[in-house]
Amino acid sequence: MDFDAVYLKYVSLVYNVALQYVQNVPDAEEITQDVFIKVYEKHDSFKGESALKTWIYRIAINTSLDAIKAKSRKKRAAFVNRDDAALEKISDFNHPGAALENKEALALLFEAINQLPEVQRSVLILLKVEDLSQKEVAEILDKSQKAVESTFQRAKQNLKKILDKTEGKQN
Amino acid sequence: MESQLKLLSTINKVQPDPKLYAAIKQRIKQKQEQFVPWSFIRAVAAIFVVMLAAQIYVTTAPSLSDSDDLSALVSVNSNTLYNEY
Repeated sequence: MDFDAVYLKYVSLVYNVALQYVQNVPDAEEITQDVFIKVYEKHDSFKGESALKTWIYRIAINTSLDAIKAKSRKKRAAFVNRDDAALEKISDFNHPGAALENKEALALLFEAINQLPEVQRSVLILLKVEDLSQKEVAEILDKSQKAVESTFQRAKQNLKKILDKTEGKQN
Repeated sequence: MESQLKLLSTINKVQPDPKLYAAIKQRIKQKQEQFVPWSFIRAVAAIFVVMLAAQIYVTTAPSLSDSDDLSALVSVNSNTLYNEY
């Protein structure tokens, strides 16, 4: 499959995965660009041991997580330098896929999801937002289905703790 | 908790801006222009190192005439031995 065909087939998948991780359009677009540059560069080295879709999912997840790490480094620097404009730019929830009536609740929920460890966050996003099966998630994250299930349970417990804590602070 | 997780499934899939394709193509073009053929450079460097090693060996190793001298000595000695018989 040539690059253009791969792009057409998977651009929506990559863009939406990126959106679930960063929850705003500019960052998701940047991640999508980075993912397809990597796909272009590594297309020859793709050995076909996994499905192309799984391989692209992995690149999209890793690139999104790297982008988040880079952003939190920038955030820390902006905080240290008291750069309010930069801080404002960084902390925006603007998921275009969220319905208006759910936006506020989703913003709070994602604030909590973003505090989860990377693997738990990925399992939750892939199972609950991307609506993939446990088998698909296990393949993408290179884990057993049992491990995915237990990670999901831990993610739920941790998410509940974080949300309870947030509610406690608000009251 | 379950109701909050259900909220996640209400998120709709979004189509990316079609301009994204042009931006990616532009970045690929830039990458191609900046391309450094490292594999070719490595191959040339490896050939250079092999040739240099060969050159050093040729200039420092004992010359062929030396070995000729030795064989001459051996043959003289063996002749001598032969003559003694």
